[in-house]
Amino acid sequence: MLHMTPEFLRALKRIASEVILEPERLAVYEADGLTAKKQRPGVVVIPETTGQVQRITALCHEHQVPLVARGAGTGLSGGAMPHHEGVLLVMAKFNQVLAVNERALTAVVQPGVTNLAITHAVEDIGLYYAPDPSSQIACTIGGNVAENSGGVHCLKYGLTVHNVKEIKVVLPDGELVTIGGPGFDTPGYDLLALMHGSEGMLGIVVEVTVQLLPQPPEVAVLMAAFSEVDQAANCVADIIASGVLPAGLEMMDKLAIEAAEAFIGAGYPTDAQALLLCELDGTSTGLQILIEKVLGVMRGSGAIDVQVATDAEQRAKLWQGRKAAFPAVGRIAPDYYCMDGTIPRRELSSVLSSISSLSNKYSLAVANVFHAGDGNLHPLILYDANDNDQLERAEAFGSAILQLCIDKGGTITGEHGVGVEKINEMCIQFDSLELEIFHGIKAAFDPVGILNPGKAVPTLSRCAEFGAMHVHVGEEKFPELDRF
Amino acid sequence: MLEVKDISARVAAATSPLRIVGGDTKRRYGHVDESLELLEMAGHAGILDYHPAELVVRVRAGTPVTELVDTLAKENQVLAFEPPVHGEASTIGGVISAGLSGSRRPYAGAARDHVLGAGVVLFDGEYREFGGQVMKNVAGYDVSRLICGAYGTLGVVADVSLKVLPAPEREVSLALEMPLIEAQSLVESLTRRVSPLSASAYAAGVLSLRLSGLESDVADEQLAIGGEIIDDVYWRQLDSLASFQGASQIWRLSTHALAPVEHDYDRMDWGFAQRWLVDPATAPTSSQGHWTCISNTSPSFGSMSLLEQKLHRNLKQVFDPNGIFNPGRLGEGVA
Repeated sequence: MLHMTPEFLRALKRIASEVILEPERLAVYEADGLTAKKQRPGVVVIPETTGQVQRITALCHEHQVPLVARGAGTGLSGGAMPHHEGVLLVMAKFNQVLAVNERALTAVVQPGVTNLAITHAVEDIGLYYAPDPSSQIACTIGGNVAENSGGVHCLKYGLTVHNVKEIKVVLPDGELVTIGGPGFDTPGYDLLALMHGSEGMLGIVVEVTVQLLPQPPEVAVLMAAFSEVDQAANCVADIIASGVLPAGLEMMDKLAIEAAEAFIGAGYPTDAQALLLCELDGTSTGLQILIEKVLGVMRGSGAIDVQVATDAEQRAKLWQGRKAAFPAVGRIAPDYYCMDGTIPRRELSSVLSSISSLSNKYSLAVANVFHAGDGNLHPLILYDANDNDQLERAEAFGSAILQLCIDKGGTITGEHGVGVEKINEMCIQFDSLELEIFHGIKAAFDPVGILNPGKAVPTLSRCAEFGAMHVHVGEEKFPELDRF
Repeated sequence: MLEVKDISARVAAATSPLRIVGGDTKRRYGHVDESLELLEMAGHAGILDYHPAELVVRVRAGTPVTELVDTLAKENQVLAFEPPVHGEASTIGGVISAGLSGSRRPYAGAARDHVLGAGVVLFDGEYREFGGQVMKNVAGYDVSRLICGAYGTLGVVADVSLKVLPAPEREVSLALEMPLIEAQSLVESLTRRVSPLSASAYAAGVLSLRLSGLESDVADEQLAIGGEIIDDVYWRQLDSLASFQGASQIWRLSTHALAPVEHDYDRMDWGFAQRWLVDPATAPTSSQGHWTCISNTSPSFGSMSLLEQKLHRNLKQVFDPNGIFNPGRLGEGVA
């Protein structure tokens, strides 16, 4: 990697009008949603056109300068953390919904459009965009593609990868390629799937065509409170086993319930040890059948309190506590560290009990708020970042949770991505043979290695240092590549 | 019984290219070099892990599709992408490697949408696992979806983990005689709102529809649509291309539902987004979408840009640097 020369910076200013070099303005961009990892960017560029993105990328390619793309910076794994000697490409000005095709049920949007803005643009004609990460009011669709974002409704409606038909991508050498198309498939490899969740390592998304869905005619939210965590966890499995596929199925533990209740007052029973929120949708007759079925399962699982909300206002109130759970937990501790492991549903109760033991071991409280239907956990570890010892314990605790998820046949990240945060744990989940393939894929798109260096896939030497993987001398593939 | 270690040994020892086959029921898809040494996967069969409440099944590639579908049916579950069965010998590894989906595709997603993980044997004979058995997993690049539809050109799929779903409570298939324009408009109106529509096909002036879902929803919709009830087996036959048996060239256009109807198609399904021509006098062209020719003698996949071709070659080089897996299957200069 070369440094940003004065010549490089002059060329950059010729391409884009908004180039930021002042330290106090650069500071704004030093972290994404993972604020524990900070780095001041070398320079921030805010392009306005695809042509500018192509020229900036080609320039970085020519000068071998690192390039990190950033949407709204809401990511929780440090995927958009800048490079101190590189360019941070801020896609904020790509904020237009370009077209809505009401008959084809698609919308063409620029990558800086927020997730929720897509739904706002089409709700008057009875449509919506299904994936709904909790940051949907601020997070952008470009970032959603990069992270393959999920959300509350992905149990039934899928992740970002299931709801995007076509993307336009600037490759690391500045070339523009269209991936996917208006039909249901394209010839050759599924590059559309490969780009989803690639964390800005393979290309920069400059346009996205999303699939829209008709709004369900009727929606209900069921809340069930339990006096035992085990009962709630088993209820999740029983609902799925009953043949009902809820639109969303969320769980909160006692600490999360209390924090949310103190913050929002959603009407959750604070004496409960665990709470389930189950969203069902369908036609009016169909919905009644589903509600009865799920209520039966909830009561059979030992729920001590059950509520059903069918009108929009009541539903919003029940959801409000869940949606505000993160900031609510933020009020009861100076800092929290949000994990994202996913496990098979049948392990829910044993993993929750292990997390509780780990909480004692590390002397840090943990609140659990998560997508129970998908087995996607979000333990929030409470700590005080001003206390170095607590920060270290929080990180060790988090790492132990991820190890636990892998041991139970799960994964270290369900929807937040690896970024810089979980790079060491990648060495546990994958061995050197698999990591080599990841490095190969990266090199197939980005042989020079300018895009988002150091993220998502650890180098083999890093894993060797981390101690989780043995690297045989001479086994490393693509030795010609720089490993960041 | 063929074990992973046997597959690994075969691949590691290979000095010339291999043709990977399951039931060898898709030899009309892409360029097949009959002279290559066979790597037969049918012996690597059986279900590895199935917990119905997890909505996941992990299965060896050589397992017959019908066996897998029957096993799931006993638990009242389905593969929602409705794998086409091109013959009794058809294996799940073949369906996933070819990335083929059936009639439910527009309404429930494609094969790749249901792939959660895969175990693959690559160029060096080593077995690697990508993805997993959980619903959400964004650790590492999505290799398990990449191998879906790669026709074995990247590696040998040894096992796959697939998302399964509860079977619909009720299904009914209907046939309605109507002009094309009315059929298009009916399908569009059913797609525009939440409806139990789960399959649609138009051929010879007849629109066939399938409704799947809750008993009451299906009954209400059936009453509104009318038509004559037909056997659900219609869709399995349609997906297997049985009615095109004997054709020397089956041309498939993948486009979008609203694309202009530019040919006298033998059938249009997937809500008019998939269109078929059997033995046309000349190779068909279209203003929108891409054509695949399914044929023993002159198979082809749709064309791609030079840039896409380059990305394909680069990826092929990563997974199969020695060029031993189904070389040329996707076409000259691609993979």
